[in-house]
Amino acid sequence: MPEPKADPAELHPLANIDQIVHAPARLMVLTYLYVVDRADYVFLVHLTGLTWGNLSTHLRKLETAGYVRIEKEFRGKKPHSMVRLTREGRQAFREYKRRVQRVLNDLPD
Amino acid sequence: MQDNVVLKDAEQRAFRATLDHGLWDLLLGCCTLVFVIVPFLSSRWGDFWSSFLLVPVFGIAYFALGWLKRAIVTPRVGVVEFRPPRLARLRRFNVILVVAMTLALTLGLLSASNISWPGWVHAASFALVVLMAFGIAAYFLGFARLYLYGALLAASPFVGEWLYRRTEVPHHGLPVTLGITATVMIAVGLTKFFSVLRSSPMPSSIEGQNA
Repeated sequence: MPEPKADPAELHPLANIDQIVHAPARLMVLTYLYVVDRADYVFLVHLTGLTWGNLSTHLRKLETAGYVRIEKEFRGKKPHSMVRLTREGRQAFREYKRRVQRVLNDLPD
Repeated sequence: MQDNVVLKDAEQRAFRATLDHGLWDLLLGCCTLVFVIVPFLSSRWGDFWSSFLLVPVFGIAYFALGWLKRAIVTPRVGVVEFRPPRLARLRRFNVILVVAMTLALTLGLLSASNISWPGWVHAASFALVVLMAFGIAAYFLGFARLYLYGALLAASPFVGEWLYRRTEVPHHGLPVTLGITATVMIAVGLTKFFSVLRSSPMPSSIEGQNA
């Protein structure tokens, strides 16, 4: 009789952690987007200290995952992009926070 | 709880990044500096016209610093829009500041219409209003140096009077004490402003296209 497969998430809260959120640079970007309504690239570069190239790459991954939305608009006559966390992104960040918190709370001092 | 503290810190950091560029310090410093100059002009132009000088100087300082913010600071620091809790906090701050300013105006008018009151009453009412306004701003905006500015401004008439009695500094020592306060504000403002210029270079045109 085959052994029943255990759900990895039940084995350990970190087993199924969202790798899109877990990368340090993306986590940093998501943290800032979580606490504000929306921000532009310059602001995110300024706060996270990432390079433009790095930030673009990470934002593309987050956008592909559906966690952020890049809104193109005009400021005066210049094109300008604002980045906003989507509902899914907000939910994913909350879930990530809950899992990590659970692990850290269980650790002895 | 700990994660909420970290998130709150991130939000505070994001908020500070949009305001902590030194231009507000420069504006406060310029406004205080005007009060250093006005007493010297009042002997020649009279109280009304020398006070009238405040309006264009405040206006010029406000628009010049607004232009600096749009042309130099925002392209370097970026644009951010905050979530409803922060906006609600700012709205509360605005309402409380309007109430404090109304109180200041009332006290000012009372002081002006009761010149017979002893000098310390005028000084104390000024100190009270300044401490209240700067204390509220420091608390709601999260800038501890506003407490220092408030304390320096509030102490100005008392220290000025003490200087006047000891060394007969003109205009009750106010140009000296307010001059020191304005110098502190302007020095902090310039330091912050140049620090932003140094730490956040203007994005190149290619990067700007991304933004």
